[in-house]
Amino acid sequence: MKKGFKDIEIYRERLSHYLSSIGQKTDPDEMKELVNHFMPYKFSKKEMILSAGQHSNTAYFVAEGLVRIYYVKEGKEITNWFIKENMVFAPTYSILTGEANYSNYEAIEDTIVLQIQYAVMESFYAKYHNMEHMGRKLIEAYYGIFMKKTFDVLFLSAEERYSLFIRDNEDLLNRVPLRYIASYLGITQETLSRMRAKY
Amino acid sequence: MRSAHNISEYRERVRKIVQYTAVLPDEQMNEFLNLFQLEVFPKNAIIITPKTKKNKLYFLVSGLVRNYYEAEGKEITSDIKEENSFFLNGYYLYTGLLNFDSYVTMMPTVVLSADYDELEALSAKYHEVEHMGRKMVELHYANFLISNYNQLFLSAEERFDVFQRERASLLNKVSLKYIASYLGITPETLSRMRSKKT
Repeated sequence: MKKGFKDIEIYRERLSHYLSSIGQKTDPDEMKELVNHFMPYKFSKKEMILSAGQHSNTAYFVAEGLVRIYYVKEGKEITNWFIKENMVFAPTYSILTGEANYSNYEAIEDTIVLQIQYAVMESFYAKYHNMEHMGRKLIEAYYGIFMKKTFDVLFLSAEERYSLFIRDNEDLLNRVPLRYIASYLGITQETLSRMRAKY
Repeated sequence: MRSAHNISEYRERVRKIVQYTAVLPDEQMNEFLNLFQLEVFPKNAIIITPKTKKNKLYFLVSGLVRNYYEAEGKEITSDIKEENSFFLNGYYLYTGLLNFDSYVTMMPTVVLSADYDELEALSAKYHEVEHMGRKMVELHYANFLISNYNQLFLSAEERFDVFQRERASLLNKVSLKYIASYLGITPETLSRMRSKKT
């Protein structure tokens, strides 16, 4: 067991549970072999996990803590995603296009991630058919979430987006500064405060 | 009566395109290609309607297909598919939610289509087909990410430059209002940009 990460087996167990829910047909032994390649890293609150402009091939699983993903446009930070415990994230733009990544990945609580190089995951895909299937479903899920967010901004009102957000992430209201949530929802902090008071 | 369409020749084109993504053993490639059937559409035919649950992977043999959705009473063109490209109802397949976009032909159009469940079954049967499927989804997703990046970080002029570089053939085939919508600018701005460049 690696020093400083007493719960690593629990984290890997949770990761394997998550990946099995995506892949469905995965074999427990193959899954165990894969998750043992995910290594733990600690990030302090406000520490940057990955910055815009860097190339990266790393995929992450949040074991503990909370990560904010944002980009900077015309001097303003736009928050795109919050990734909490038992969720995965990866700079897919950089991984799949080979270009520098344009988002910043910041720990906004003390955070422990399990991480792996995408090439290592691909070596498992090449070795095991069920893993390759899981790899495709993982990309499809990521793609779907991104598409849904793009369309939610177009088709839902700010109020609808807010109620969807609290339905899925009520805990985040107390974990995340309101200005980040307002930015995520594409509204001003004042509008967000009014909505909170109303609901 | 002999058909004007040679499906073997069209399947051969699918083979050539997917070979850029992954190489399959002959037997598997033939099983894959045999899933594709011919469909012929007149101009303005809807290939994929909103809220459709029937899913196919389409390969565009000839013609043009516009992908659009309506928002705030306006039609937004999100893509224009040309010969030798694939398309499918990704929103439904990847989110499990009903789609609200449509795919409509802009001229008489010929496609090959394969039932998505049959493609899934073939992927479950052969690892190599699953690999090719993953690579194709990754490519599709990467293109989505690139267009999202362009929309976020490039100016209208830069987006038009990219369009001219990569999709010049569309400029003479497609009404400017669709190209303007695709670029996220007004037709007037597009006209000004075009006259400035020539």
